[in-house]
Amino acid sequence: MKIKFNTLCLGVSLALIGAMVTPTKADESNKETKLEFSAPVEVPGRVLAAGKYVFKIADNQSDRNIVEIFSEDADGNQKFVTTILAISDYREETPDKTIITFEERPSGSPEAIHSWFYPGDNTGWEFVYPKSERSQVGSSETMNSNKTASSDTTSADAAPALSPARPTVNPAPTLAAPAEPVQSEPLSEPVGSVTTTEDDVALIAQNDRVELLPAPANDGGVFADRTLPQTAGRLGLELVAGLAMLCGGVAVVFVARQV
Amino acid sequence: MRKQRWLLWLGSALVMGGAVVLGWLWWDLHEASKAQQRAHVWLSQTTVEPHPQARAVRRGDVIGELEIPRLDVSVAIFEGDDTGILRLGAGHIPETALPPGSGNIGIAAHRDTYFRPLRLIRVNDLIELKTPAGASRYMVTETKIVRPSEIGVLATAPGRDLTLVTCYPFYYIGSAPKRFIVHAHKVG
Repeated sequence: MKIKFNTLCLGVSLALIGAMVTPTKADESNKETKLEFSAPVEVPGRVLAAGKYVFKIADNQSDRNIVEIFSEDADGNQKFVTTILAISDYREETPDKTIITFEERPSGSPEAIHSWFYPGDNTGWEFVYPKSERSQVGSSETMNSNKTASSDTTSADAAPALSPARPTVNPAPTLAAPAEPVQSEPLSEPVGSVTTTEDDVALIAQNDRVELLPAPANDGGVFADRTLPQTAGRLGLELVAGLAMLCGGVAVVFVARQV
Repeated sequence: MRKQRWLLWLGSALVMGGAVVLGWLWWDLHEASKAQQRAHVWLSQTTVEPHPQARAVRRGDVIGELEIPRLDVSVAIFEGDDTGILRLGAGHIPETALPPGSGNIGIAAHRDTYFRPLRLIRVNDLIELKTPAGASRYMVTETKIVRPSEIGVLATAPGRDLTLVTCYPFYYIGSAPKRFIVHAHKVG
């Protein structure tokens, strides 16, 4: 009975500690990221004018791929802009800074945000655009990116991504239209320069994808420094080793009992 | 008595070790099966317009699905040819052409799982390659056995649009010394 009482006390204590810690975790878990765009950028369903924005993950435990975007005025007041259903994206290297990648768009059109990664997370969010938007992608023109810097933030080159390998899976619908119109503005400067207002991070807008040409006209020379893939696999070895150990072990135990 | 205890300890250790190895094997197969299922679902829901320009892919991206109807082979293809990728399915060999474009598309897979049936493949067998941008059909033109260093089999050549790579001999424990190559050309 005493043990049960102690267990109950322990459970209640843990619950209380958990309740006290939860608000902090909730703030961290919404991945709030402040971004400042120096030119209009596109997100699924709308174009964001140049300015400050806050990207957050919606507080929805069943779906962690809902991205909410708020605009932020000079006084720090936030206004809801839009909600985007994103899909999970993944990077091999864990970013130590916020990373935004862009998609290619025709010259003169705003760059489209392709993905967003929060510092310290390999898993980010990919914004998926309807086919109609993607089909406008320029045939071969590559947009230039521009580097800007401001007094309190850092920026880096924004290299537009090429068409991604997973382009038009269930185009992400926009859940809510904003009450506050966010008009696209004429391009006043080359797109691609983005700054983040987080204290200790510099935003890197980059494209780390490997470009593969559909028809590499090679004669084998491009592979000179490598060999054909190792396709042996360990399946057979593991199966034989596992069964041998299991059978051997049973046999040894059997013998031991006979001794 | 001491010998009996020692034998019991050894036997138990072997049983536990064997269980761990088999459990690890089961987990590998389970993960591969899940990855294949996810890829099939994604492919069945996805279509894109063929784009004449370069595509960009990352390691692990789903490239498509390879089928050899006569051999009852159906496997999802991921980008990359390293151990981690080939554990999950077939791998598109980086720096070779990407479907559905022209050029020599290189695809590798383990000879003890997905490409085991390749030992029975014959000239004129049909191979289907399904990607979100469409399906292509290829006909086997040649099979050969080469050394791992003979990377030239991946080079672009007339009539060589698809190259499958797996290890040879098919029944061999450990790292196989050779590679089994299947060349095919596009027929539709």
